[in-house]
Amino acid sequence: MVDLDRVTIERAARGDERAFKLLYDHYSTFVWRVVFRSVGSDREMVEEIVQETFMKIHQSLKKFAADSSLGTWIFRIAFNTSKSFWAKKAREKERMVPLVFDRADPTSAIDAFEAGDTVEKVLVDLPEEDRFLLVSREVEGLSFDEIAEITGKSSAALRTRMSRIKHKIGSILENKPHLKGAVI
Amino acid sequence: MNEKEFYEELGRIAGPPPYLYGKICRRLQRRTTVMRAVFALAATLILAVGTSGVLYLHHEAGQALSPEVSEELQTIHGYLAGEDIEQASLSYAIEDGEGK
Repeated sequence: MVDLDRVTIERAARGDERAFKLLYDHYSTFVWRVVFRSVGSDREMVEEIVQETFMKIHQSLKKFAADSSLGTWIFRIAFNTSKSFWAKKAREKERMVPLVFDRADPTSAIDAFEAGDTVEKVLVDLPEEDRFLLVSREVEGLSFDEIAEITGKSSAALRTRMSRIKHKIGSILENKPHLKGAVI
Repeated sequence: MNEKEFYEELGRIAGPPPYLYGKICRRLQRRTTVMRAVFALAATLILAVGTSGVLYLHHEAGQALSPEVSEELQTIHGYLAGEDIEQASLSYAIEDGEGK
């Protein structure tokens, strides 16, 4: 990920609105994509997480250490914000157990067909954190070291985890014949 | 859908809606207003407490007078109460008696 230039970052940190808009334009698509894929079809929640992430960025940009990557720092904020929303969502889900379909339910992917796109039908069986890692790595092209910095986990543990995630996706695609013929 | 197609499709997501930045700006403005109000309230409280403290300390300092000032005040109080007149008339009376 190419970082924004230092001058703009410094201006944004000093409260320059135009510089902050440039920062938003530069990183919002990345943040949106990762959050969108990890949360799923709940667009309201995606918007809420992205808004919250940029609020936090605006608030703590002064504390950002200029010697590290701004992109990684922003992703870490997005990851931590998403985590608290996932926890909130899980608590709400626990309270509504009889009303919500279970993740392990084999029909869950079919239900997701109504709500999301083809990819969503596959992702619905993965935990949010795994989706976040998957998109960070496969879509945004972050290195394992960068993801380790974002998540606070070791690079080796992430490699193993990513391999498991990919294996799981492979088996989902194999075992769910209704997805094979899905039009992209 | 095979795995290759899946990973291609994974990144095909439209960016954030154009109105989102406006929403963030409004929230930032609201937060700034609230923060300013909180700071103003805190400053008022600190000022009020500080002023009261200074006044109290000033009052306390006024209570503890040096012995010289205290003696002087006592003398003034005595004059105001007419103690000196009483003393003077008594000495006149003694003098008159002696004179007789």
